Formats: sequence, structure tokens, C-alpha cells
Amino acid sequence: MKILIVLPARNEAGNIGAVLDRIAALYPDYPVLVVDDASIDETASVVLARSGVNLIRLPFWMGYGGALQMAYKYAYRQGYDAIVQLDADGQHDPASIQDLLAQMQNADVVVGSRFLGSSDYRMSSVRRFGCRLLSFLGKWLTGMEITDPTSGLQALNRNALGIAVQDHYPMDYPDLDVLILMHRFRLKVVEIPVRMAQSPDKTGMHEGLQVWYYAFKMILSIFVMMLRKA
Amino acid sequence: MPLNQRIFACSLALLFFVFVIDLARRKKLRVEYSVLWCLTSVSILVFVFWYDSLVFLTGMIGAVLPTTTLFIMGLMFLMFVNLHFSVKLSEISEQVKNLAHEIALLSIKKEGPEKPE
Repeated sequence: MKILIVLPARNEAGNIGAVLDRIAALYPDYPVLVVDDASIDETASVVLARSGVNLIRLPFWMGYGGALQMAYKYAYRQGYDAIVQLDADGQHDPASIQDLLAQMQNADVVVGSRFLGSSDYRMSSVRRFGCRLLSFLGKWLTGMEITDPTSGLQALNRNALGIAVQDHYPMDYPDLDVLILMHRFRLKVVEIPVRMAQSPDKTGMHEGLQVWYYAFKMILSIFVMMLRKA
Repeated sequence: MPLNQRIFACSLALLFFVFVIDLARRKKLRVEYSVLWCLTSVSILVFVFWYDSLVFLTGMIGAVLPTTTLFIMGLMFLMFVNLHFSVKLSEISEQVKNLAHEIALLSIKKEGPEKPE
């Protein structure tokens, strides 16, 4: 099975080196691809300093979804059977990769959930409420049990990649709407418990507004996906 | 419709028509996009020379004054034009994203040999 480890990154020069080193130590046989989303720091130099890591530099800032879809297109065209994606900021533990891959035998998409099992992950009440609301929405619309609808730690097989490379993949926040899209194409989505490091809590007016924009856009996106023909 | 109003509306429509054609001639506006704007000028001319059609429309939509009909039509037109541009913008965004992906794929940088699979 050809497997690719994917890290979308923007301005992660301070974190990505340690993540790449840990991946290299744990999985020396898996190729790694970093998609640099037009970083303005030294992210690309840090990646290029490590041998065997492929780097794709986007010509301009395309957002998390744009960077992810870039990786999907690369993996799909290069004939990979599956990819594992994780964030470059160190929030996701590379040790979880093997757990995700182990579940690929009986699923098309495996999502690492920070809320499954004995979780001590702390999150602001607004975000926690948003996550629960999205989980409820996902279950109500599709019957899927997704406890962590915003998790970026995922593994996708080739069937899922084939859907993710299509046009109109969300450019900004590909989360629950994409999982619902996969479900609409009759792909199996499962969750497994993972440990995640604490992500810095976002505060301030701008971030606050972004949360509301995210919620509105995600609910709209979900309904539009439900109306599209699979 | 008073004569001065007719002259004003007619001149405005003609000027707009000439301006749109000139933009297309100077390659500032694509011909396919100029069609809509040319039709706008023609519509104004139709209402100037066939005022009864505007009165008829006013009666049909239940408005009292023909000016109300004109404002409603103008507003609806602008809304649809904006929506049309949003559709075009979405289309162009998708094309730009795909182009950027292709460029990035072509210029992939590799450091050392790819690891064995």
C-alpha cells in the first residue's frame, strides 16, 4: 500500500521541523509531502533542510482547504493508495498515524477525535458548543457519529481522494461538510480516539467574528452539500 | 411623458449605448458582457418611445406611478447583475485555484531522493 504523509503549512517555521523529525523517526519508510501555503517565514527552508521531504509551494495564499486539496491532487496523480494528513503546528501527534492507518482496512476516511475516549482536551465553551452543534447536525442529517467535526488529523484512501480532488472543495474550512460529502458518496467514515496537544485559544474581536462566520458558513455548506447530487 | 423628459432619457440611453460599444471596441469590455448593457440602453429607449408599455407594466405589478416601476426594475436589474457577477467570480476563483495547483505541481521542489515505499 502506497502511503503519503501530508502536512499543509503556513508560517510554521518554528514548529514544522520538530514534527518532520518525529515523523522521520517513527516512519522512515513513508514519504512526506509539505504544502507550503505561501508562507512569509522560513517554513520552506526548514522543510528543504530535511532530506526526503517533498515540498510544494503554492504561488499565493489559498487557505487550509486549498493547500489540502493541492496535496490530494498530488497524491491522487502519483497513484498513492492513502494519505494521512496532520497539522504542521505540532498539535497532532505523529504517533497517531499508525492508529489511523490500522483503521483504513474497514473505512475510507478515518478521523482522529480528541473527544473520544478519556479526553482531557480543554476548549473554550463557545468552541465546545460549536463542535457539539456540528456533531448533532451531522448525526441528524446522516446518522454519522462524528464527535470531533473540526479535526484535521485524518486518513483518506484513494476513493476519498477521488472525491476530494473535484472542483468546489472548500478553500477555507473543509471540516464536517467534507465528511458529509464523503458519506453522500457512500464512503465509510469512522473516528478513532487520539491525543492532541492544546491549540492556542483564539481571543479578540476578529477571532470572535471568525467563529460566527465559520458556524454560518459551515451550516450553509452542509445544507448545500446535502442538496447536491452524489 | 413630457418632451424634455423624453429628450433627457433618450440622450442618456444613446450616450450609454455609445459608451458601451466604445468600451468593447477598445477591448476594455468583452463583447459577450456588452450585450446585457446594450439591452439596457435599448430598454430605456423602448420606454421612451412606447410610454404606454411602462404604464401597462405599472398596472400589472400593482404600482401607482410609472416611476415606481422604473425604480423597481432598476433595482431588480442591479441585483441580478450582481448575482451574475458573483457566479462569474466563483467560476474564475475555481479556475485560478486549479491553475495555481497546476503551477505548483509543475514546480515541485525535491531535496534528495524520495524515500522508498
